[in-house]
Amino acid sequence: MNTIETSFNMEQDSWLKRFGWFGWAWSLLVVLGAIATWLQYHTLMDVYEKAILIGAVPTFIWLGAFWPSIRHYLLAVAALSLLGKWLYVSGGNDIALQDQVFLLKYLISSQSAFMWMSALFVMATAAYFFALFIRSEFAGKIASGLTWAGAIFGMTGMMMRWYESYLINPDYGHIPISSLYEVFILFSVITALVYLYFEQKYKTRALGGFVMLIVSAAIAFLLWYTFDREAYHIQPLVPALKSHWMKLHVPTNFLGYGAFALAAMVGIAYLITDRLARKNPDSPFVRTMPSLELMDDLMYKSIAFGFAFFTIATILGAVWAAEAWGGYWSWDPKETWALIVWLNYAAWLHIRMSKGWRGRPMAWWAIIGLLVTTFAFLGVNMFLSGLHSYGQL
Amino acid sequence: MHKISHWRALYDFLGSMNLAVTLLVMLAIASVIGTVVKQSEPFQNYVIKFGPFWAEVFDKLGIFNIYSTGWFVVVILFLILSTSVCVIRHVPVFVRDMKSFAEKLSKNALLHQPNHAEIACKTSAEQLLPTLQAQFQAEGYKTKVHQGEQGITLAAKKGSFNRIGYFLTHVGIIVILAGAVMDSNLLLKYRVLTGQAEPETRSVPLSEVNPKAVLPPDNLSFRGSVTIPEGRKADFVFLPYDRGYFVQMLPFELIVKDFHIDYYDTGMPKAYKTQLVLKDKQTGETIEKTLEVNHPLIYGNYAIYQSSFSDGGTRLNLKLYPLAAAEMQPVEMKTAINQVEKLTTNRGSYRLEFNDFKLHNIVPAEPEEEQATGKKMHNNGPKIVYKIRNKQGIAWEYETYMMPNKQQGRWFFISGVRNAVSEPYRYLFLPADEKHSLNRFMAFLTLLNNDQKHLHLLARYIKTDPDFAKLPIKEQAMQVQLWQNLIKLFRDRGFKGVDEFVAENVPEDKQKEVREFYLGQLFMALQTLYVQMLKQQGTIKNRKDLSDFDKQWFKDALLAINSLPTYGPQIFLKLDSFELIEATGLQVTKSPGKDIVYLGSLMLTLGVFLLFYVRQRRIWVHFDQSVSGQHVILAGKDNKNTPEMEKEFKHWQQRLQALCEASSHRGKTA
Repeated sequence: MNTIETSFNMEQDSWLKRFGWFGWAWSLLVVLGAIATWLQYHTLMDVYEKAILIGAVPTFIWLGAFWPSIRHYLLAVAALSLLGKWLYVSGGNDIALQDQVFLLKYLISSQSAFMWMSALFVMATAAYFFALFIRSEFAGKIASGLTWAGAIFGMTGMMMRWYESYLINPDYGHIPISSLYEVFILFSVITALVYLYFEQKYKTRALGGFVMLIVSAAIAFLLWYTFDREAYHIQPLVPALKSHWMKLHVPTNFLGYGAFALAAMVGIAYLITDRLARKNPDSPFVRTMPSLELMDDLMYKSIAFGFAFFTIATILGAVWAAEAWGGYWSWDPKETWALIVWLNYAAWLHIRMSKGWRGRPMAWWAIIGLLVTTFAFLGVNMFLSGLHSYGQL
Repeated sequence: MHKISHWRALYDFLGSMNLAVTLLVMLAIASVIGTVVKQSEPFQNYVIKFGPFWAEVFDKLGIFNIYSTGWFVVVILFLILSTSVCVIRHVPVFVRDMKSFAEKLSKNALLHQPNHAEIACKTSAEQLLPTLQAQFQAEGYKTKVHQGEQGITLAAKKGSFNRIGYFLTHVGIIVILAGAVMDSNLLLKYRVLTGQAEPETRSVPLSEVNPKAVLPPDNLSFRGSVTIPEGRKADFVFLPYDRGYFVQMLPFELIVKDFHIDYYDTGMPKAYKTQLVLKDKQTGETIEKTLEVNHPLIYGNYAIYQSSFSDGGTRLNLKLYPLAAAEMQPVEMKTAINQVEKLTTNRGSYRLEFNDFKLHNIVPAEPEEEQATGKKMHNNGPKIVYKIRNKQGIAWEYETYMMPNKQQGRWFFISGVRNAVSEPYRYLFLPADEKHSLNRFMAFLTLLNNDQKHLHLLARYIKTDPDFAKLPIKEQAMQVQLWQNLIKLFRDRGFKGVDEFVAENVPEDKQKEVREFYLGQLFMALQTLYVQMLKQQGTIKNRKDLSDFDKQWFKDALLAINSLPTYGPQIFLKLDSFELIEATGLQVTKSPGKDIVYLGSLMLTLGVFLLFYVRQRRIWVHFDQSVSGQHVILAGKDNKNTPEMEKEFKHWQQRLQALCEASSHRGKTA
């Protein structure tokens, strides 16, 4: 009887076991990091920023337990960022150091980190497709590694850019999620991370190429924006953006955008696999790809995840608008298009849950959903005018 | 009976998915239209854009204020109704479902569940049940045992909160919409429809506003704005309504002590700050606060926001140069922004309307400047925007900068003119002299305007020039006459005047030749006058003394005079000094629905997470007693038919099998 009971309790044990010593160490590090940040910067923070810092502690501990790999990722980002900061500090906190110190110039000043991120993500895309076509697990592992590395450099670059904005002029200092250039980096990193989560959860790398394709498209835009428009210059914030709400609203929004993008790319993979499977169910491509049911489920999971965060982001946006513009809803084009995106995915989820639709129509709808989202993200800034007039092309 | 079925049909219709989808599609289409057509612009703009006919049609359809138009509000109200009916219909079903263990399902029904398995188990139900029940409970399941005719069923379920998710999301949406309706201007619309209130469409002083357009402070909700100059106060806001406005009275006074803008070193605005005092009319209580974007003042049900700024009547000290005058005698004028001045000249009388003053005018820097200073932006300094209107009502709009600006290394006074708001400005560049002043230009211009003076100068010059002095007196006179005619043509119509004169009076085959001759003569005459003027002023002694600056200045001056004929009424306004008075644009809202909307949002968020991340799972273990031996049916499902359920089911299947074997094993050894 005892043996049975212990085996039945395994699931509960395993959660604690999985948390393990590393989980405790991680939690301790998060707490210590927050304390160190508090000690160094609390005089400069307002009450909301302090609340965000305190709230970040349980969030990161929970995140680490929910997805243990993120701990390694964040540790790598923290280590590189602290190295970067140390290089600046030891050189006298001069922005010119970004072109003088070897490690900064070629590795982790924000601009070089973004270049590394771009290169790694594009290489990862190629590696994923290569792995898919030669059916090599080893190549797939390389591709995953490249994606992780790209995401590390992307996030490190953002950390450095945050710090550098203060070095240029303390007046300019702000979290780098305020311009179109900056949010494109955020989008690339978040989409890659959401993908990596699902890659681990579903134990398949076959979808990597498809998802990283859209990240590569974002990178292509980013490079054009960098070299043709010189958009990488750090600009001070307009008064409307000077709010602690930005720190919550923008990343939450991009969790949504990233998940919607992922769902659409899985939708494309679904449709290709489905078409080939109907011609020849035994073709090597079809056999390498995950099952249609898995992709369908992944689309659902990703859209549900995106929808949940997009809902929060839109609400946070409304709360912010109530503080900045005098009303939680002004029918500003960006708000209105956020509503349209929200309605679209709400309908997608409704139809799937209550009418039980699956497969091809839902895959097409996920792709169309991304087009609507893209218009809300970019099109509104390009073609319509309104209160969200920052982030114009 | 008949009546009831009608009501039933209506009820079903209101709660139907089809109606909900139709309403949502209408909402989405209206939203798209609202983002494509700019909302709440002056009606005139729409007439220009769509033509008078379509502008009127679109206006009737409410396209220009789509989010507050009648049919849109009806859509929203129906959406509330439809969602409410949907919730009322589904909640009892869901509550039953949440409570129920579905323990009475037949053997057949169990075998039709998405996941099911049959296991041969030698242990009796009585032996297994307590252990199983404990296992289920240990994993968070609730259990219920049912003794049926055919056997015993252990029904387990988990995640019933999923159903609360449905409730929270839908009720959340209803609550949000209800809050939004509270904050809309529905009540005001009703009062307009019933004639109790009427918007004012004229621009009149506050004291003359139609009393029906003045709303008392007890209005339920509103969102309006008011512009208050520094040192002034207001106790009302304007609410735009259709093509007019309402005046909403406030229960407090807003006193603006100061408004100022902080700038970054790039010249970009960094912060807009209003030093505001709020004084409650009833209690006399005062609150002082520095208002900033993102930092509103909350007072009871009211919130006061920094939303814009404008000029609040900056005082101006001007010099008016009549550009056609023969003597340099600028008129001094003291006025202010938002003032109108009358001006009578020998060319007619005009109204000068001073519209705006801008202290900083940031433009992209020229590449050379950017290289030199490293700054991408350049500040052109203060400018005034004004209109000059003649008696016929035709107006020219100007923007004139106070200080000279550097263009290609030279300094110019810049002034733009246009005849309509839709046109771009055409700029006049008046070259500054070596002291960065307008004096040399105005002196030269008045000299050209003064026939007698320049006749005198030219006649005197022709006698001293060795080449001309040789000519007979009569030819000298003709030469001077030619010069004078050419100067007059140039002064009246620019170089074009000379061209047109040639085109009208000279045979075609000789035109080119004559034109070149005339232009040469004109240039000589102008240069002569310029040199004579500089000599008289004592700037130079001899023509040889002309510096590169003087030569370049002359070319620039000719270009400027060439474009004077298109500068409208010949008046140049030079701003000598000013006293800046700014006005802050405040927005005041009363939004009792805000907290309701937030509550609804919270419900929605919670509901979404419950819906997506809590699965309602059911597992049945049925011990079939209708056949001999222990035949166990295991069945399971979740409400979304997910792959996770399959995995979980397999897990339970293995456990049960292990349990059966372990129990029978123990049974044997015992």
